[in-house]
Amino acid sequence: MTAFEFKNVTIGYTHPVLTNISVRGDANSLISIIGPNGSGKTLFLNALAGLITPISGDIRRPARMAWKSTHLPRFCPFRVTDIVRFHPKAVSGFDAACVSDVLNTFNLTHLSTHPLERLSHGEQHRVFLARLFCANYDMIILDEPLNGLDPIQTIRLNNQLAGFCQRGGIAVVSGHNLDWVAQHSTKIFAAGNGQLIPITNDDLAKEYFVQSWYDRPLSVKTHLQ
Amino acid sequence: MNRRSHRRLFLVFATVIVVILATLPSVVSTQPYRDMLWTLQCVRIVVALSCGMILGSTGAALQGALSNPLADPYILGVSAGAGLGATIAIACVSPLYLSVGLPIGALLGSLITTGILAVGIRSIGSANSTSAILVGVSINALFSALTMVMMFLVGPKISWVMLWLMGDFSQASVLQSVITLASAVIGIGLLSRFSTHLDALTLGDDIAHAFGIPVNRARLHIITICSILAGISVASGGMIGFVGLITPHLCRQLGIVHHRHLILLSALGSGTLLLLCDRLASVSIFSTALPIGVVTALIGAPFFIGLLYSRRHDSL
Repeated sequence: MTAFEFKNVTIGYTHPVLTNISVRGDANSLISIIGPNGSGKTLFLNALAGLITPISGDIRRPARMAWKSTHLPRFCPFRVTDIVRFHPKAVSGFDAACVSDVLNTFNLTHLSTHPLERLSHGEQHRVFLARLFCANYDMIILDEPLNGLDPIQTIRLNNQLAGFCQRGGIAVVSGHNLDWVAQHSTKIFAAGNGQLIPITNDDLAKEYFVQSWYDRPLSVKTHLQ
Repeated sequence: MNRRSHRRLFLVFATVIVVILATLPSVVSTQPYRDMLWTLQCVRIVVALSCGMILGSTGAALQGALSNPLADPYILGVSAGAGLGATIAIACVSPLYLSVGLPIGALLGSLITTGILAVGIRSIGSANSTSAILVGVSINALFSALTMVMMFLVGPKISWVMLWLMGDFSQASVLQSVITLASAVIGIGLLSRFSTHLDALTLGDDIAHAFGIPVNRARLHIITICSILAGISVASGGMIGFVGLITPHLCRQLGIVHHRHLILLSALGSGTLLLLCDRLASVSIFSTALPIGVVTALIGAPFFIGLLYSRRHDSL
């Protein structure tokens, strides 16, 4: 089942950055967006979330979706538990036990009554990640979610993402960790040179392909050792 | 903080206001011209309470809408616009009609500033919090400079304008007190309708968007409501700094963070604070009553710094 679709879409803030892109994503899948800095990954996610209007073309997306950006609020007096429970009425169907499980998974239970501002940078990121899994969203969009996460938390996030996709959700993730992308993605899109094209794990394994994208040869581990 | 605590805080504010009102007859009963003094005192109390409620609720709403702890009703330049309007009124209107011309001038100044602010934010193409604050700060600087130019042109009336701009409830009329109170009640009601919007905007534009909130439009609406309310407050009582900034923070320190409760309790807290400051200003040791803005800053600033120092290990 198609969850989102871009038809001949051109997007940019002041001038076109990604031109004439036509991509689609299906339910039960984890889609990764890779590409060098400034290639338009976040721009694509912004357009997917509806935060910016495309210059031309059509975008179809599910109504119930959430977005986790790389930015943290500068001023946030809310408690951790208030934030993970704060969802639109249409999606807030999860019970207290589920919220408690998610908080436990992200090792936030002992911080649940703390105001967000008293938490470290990494802990604050975990709060906004945990929030995504405490409601019934059809699509979640995560911009560079591995930033600030320790290895254990990364594994826990992987498990949560896998569970979310198994339940019929679609997760769209951007990132620079090509090993992680190759090992966990159902589908990969590469952004660069004004384009966004679907690629495969095999493409990522080819040094010349990655070199053409990143201007440097990079070796990518496509399977867990 | 749970609902019972909210109720308790509400009762504390209500009790302080009732105690202040209860002391009123003893203040005026022993003096001649009792009825006239009674009316004047009532007007003064209603204006102080209403201006406080406006400043507190708009402070809480703007800090949420702009996701900025430094935001208050005056950061957007509305007070500077109102001040310029008042100064022009003093320069141009005959002293006989100044009691009517001055509040009208201040109100017109604030409304024109609100319009310029809205057009400025729209022409930038985005109502994000930084651009809104930058437009406000620029308007503030421009109108403050124009006010100074007007003051130099007006000449001898300069000290009178300065005193009025620093906060004065004694000039307000009965009609003005009724208008200010009605505006405060309507304004708090309107801002409370935006409470979920404000909670979401505090957490970030992306989360607000996921709630189906048209982020830029909602922010512009909240800024416009706050600007008009701030203009009404300046027209009635002059420029009273600090109250709108500190009361929402005091409420948050007490654990009230959701705007559903924060707007109302911040309004009541500010109203109470301004009433107390007004009482204090009117029994001043000086030969004449101090401007209310001076009293709020003298009491508010050290208290706020003390509060920040006592909680220096936590962020605000």
